[in-house]
Amino acid sequence: MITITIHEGPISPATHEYTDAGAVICFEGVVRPTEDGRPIEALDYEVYEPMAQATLSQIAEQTRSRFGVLAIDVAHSRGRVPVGQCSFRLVIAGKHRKESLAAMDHYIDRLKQDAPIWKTPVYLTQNAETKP
Amino acid sequence: MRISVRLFGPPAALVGSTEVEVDFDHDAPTGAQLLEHLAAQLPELQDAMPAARLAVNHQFASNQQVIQSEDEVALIAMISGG
Repeated sequence: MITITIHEGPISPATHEYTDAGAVICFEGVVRPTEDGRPIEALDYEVYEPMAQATLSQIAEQTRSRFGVLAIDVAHSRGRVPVGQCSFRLVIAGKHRKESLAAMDHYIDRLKQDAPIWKTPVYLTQNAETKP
Repeated sequence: MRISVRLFGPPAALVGSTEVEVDFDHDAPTGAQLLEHLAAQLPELQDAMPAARLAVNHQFASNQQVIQSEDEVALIAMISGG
């Protein structure tokens, strides 16, 4: 099973049940308090949504096929996410730890390479600047 | 032929617009030709263009892909998800 969800703002805690899984791995990306050494209050995420949905789903299908994992659940924020809040969560369930961890690493690398999502730091000075 | 190209995130901020229009003196330009025109037309993105890609109708396009006037085209550059 593959699930892709784009959330408005921060992502709430995960709840999941996977039958047949021996390993359930959850990665959460959290907004750091600084960008380039400057304090921020939040990140603004912009998502090219039709393409992001399709791309995240394609990556999930390829990852599931390559590593043989059972389920991939992806959630990514759009809009403003305050410091300390979750903006990205990836849950991968597999029969065993090794392929699940490898699938996790692979998925995140592909997301960062291909998903049409951009972030803009909101600095504490109130001056938003853009940064890749 | 005129093609509208959507911009997002830092590229849009650098250019100051979420859409740019590119004119060709012929029909059906390829992805490579559109990228060349964009690079020439948008000097603000000179650092980003070498790694930039085009999306056509929500899929990454190859350099050889022919672009039609009704296609939805976007410049995918400087992405930072996750």
